[in-house]
Amino acid sequence: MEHDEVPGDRLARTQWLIAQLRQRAAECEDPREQDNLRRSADSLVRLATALRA
Amino acid sequence: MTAIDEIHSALQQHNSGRHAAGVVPRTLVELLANHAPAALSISGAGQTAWNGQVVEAGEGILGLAHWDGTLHLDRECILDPLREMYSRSGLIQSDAMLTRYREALVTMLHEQSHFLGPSGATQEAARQAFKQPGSRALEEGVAEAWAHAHLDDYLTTLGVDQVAPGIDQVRAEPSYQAFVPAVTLLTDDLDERTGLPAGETLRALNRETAEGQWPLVVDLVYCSSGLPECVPPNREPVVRLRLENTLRESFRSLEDFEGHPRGYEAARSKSTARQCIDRLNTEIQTAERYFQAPTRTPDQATALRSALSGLAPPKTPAQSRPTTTAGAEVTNRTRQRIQPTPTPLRGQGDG
Repeated sequence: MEHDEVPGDRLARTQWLIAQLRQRAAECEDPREQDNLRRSADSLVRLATALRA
Repeated sequence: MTAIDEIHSALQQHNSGRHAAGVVPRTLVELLANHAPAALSISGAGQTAWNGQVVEAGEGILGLAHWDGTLHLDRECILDPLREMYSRSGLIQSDAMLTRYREALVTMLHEQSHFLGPSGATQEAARQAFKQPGSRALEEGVAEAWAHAHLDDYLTTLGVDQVAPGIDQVRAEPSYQAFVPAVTLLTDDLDERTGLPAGETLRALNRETAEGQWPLVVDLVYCSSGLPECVPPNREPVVRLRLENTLRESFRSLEDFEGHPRGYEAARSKSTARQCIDRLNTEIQTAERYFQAPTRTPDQATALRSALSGLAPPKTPAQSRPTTTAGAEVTNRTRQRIQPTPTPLRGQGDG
């Protein structure tokens, strides 16, 4: 489960996922899919901020 | 003055406190001042953790409720459409433009949902709980499902239906498709289990921070089952923990579907929620049989202990406010969370 992970690893993985989602959003032509990807990235930014604080 | 200058000016004016709270908004500045009190009012939450500040989002962010209480909003998709909406106040506009405004407003309401909580809740406790398994999926799914379900009330409260006539006739599609269908199925199931009015579990969860959301779900599940009648008080915490771990693990797995096409995310979200509810029912039935059985043979006891041990040992749940092990008291506490005292519309920065 996630809370068993080493905090630094989880943060690094979250940041990697944010970058992946943003890249896919930038390449996406469907506005609804793009919004879905961008907002998933936003949610992970909230998580990354929580992990960093 | 260019649109960019107008937005910069509006944010500067808002953040300096030179704005009118408690009025029906007629400008972007007035909307920024009044949008959080309106969210508090329609939600019935005890407080908002919003610190009153709004900043332009960077790094490709659409909307973000920062843990320090600051609201981050994207210029292109949120601030600029809303500025434009007020510049064309009362005019007939295309469905495409109305949909753009609606999407901006639902994102704003979604972000405010993250700030809502019961009186006395802290952002630090919410932040700690948000990191626990399944918390992010539940909080995001609740915020998005609730924001879409209550958007028309929000728009009416803010007078947006007068500013952009016809905005209640267009629709914006929910995002977070990995989470929203699962949250909808779970909260509908909880409404049915508990006999609450349709949508009440979703509204109650929206009034909680991450700290209280899963404990509230477990309260509803536990108290609507036969468990309070058969589980000894000293075993109740362990049974509750098993239920919470089952729910959390299912919702944590929803994160694996993020980033896929919306249709795939939604389908997997639904199937995962159905499996989650099935597992929950099995857990409840197993525990009810175990604690109701007056006598057990050694073989039966071994089988039940094995079933109760599940796939993983119980883990410590997210830090939550003090709970009681007395079933009746839990029921009363849950009732208070389901039926909060109505919150009056208050000025910006309250709470």
